[in-house]
Amino acid sequence: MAILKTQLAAKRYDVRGEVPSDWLTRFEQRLDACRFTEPLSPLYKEPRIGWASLENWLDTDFSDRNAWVSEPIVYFTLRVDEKKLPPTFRKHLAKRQKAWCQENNRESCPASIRTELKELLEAEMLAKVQPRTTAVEIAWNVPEGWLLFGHVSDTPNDRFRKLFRLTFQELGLEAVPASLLEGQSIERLDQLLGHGPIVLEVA
Amino acid sequence: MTTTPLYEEVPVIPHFGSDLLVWLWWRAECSGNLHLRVGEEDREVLVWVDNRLRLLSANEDWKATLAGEQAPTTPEAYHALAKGKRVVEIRVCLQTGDRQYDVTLLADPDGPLRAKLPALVRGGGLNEQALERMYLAGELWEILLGIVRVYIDERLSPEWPSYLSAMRLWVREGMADARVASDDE
Repeated sequence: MAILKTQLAAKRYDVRGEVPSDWLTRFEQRLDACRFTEPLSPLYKEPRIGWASLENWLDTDFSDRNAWVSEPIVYFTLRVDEKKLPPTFRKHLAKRQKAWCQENNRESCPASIRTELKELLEAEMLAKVQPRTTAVEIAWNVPEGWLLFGHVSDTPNDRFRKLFRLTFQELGLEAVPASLLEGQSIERLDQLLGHGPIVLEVA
Repeated sequence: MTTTPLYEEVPVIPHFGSDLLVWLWWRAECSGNLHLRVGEEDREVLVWVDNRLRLLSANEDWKATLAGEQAPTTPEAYHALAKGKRVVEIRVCLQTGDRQYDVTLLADPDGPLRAKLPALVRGGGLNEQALERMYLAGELWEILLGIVRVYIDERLSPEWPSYLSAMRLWVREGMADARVASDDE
């Protein structure tokens, strides 16, 4: 847990937009609408993404507010389940293609057969492969309008921003750089821009 | 009249991050105390450079990571600055009252927030922990904003040339001290 530990590693975002007065009810509905759901079939290739409880990422029930609200903070996780084909996939595929060629007395597989064999093998392997689950913490100070996302890499941050936009449609997220210059006037920033870098070179 | 810019209006200031870091390093080495506005109150924040620095040349063909207790006062550190290298990462300790934050600051404005926060509450439930962590993360952010404000104030003040001279002197003296120390050895 990158936020609740003393060792903090997170991206900070400012949340822009007006939070409605009944925000708790709205947030509950929105989080519930975009909660993590188990797939209907185990044969999925695209990552499954949704919100879950921070304490237990198997819990996606947001009706119990004690599990995600400690006013003025709300906290939850971004859960991502991803299936990856094993590295031996290509080797197995080549073997099947070779077997097909032998059976059919052909030098090489036609494109349609190659696709068919690939899809078949993918389905077989995806059925057996267990998903890799990651759960990234989010802690949001609602009245102050900022939050921490407990992962520093680009992909999880991109996924987070995308799902946040989908969930809380009228609220926007702004990453750190502008926020750190918060309170500075345009005039001061322009002046700063006019100054060159600090040069300390000693001849 | 001044206006606070919207996100889209904030200009990209390419040297902002590394300038801020080298200024903070100089301030920490020279005085150590910064008088900051943190949230609604004025506070003294003690700043010192910890055990890690990363420098990069302007064309990015040279880089060095200096680690260890003496990292900010090593001959390599001053020589790198004297040769025009830019600071891209610095680890600092920020102390206010009885709370100490160990923070890794990056020149890259898109960089993450990496810090060791003080542990105030022992045990407690998830709610207490979340409140405490967010309170401390908020305080740290206010301190960083305060540092940025002081830096910009100094950078835009008519006294900036004298600050810059002092920074250059600091580098020269640092190199000279390092030379004396190595001669003594």
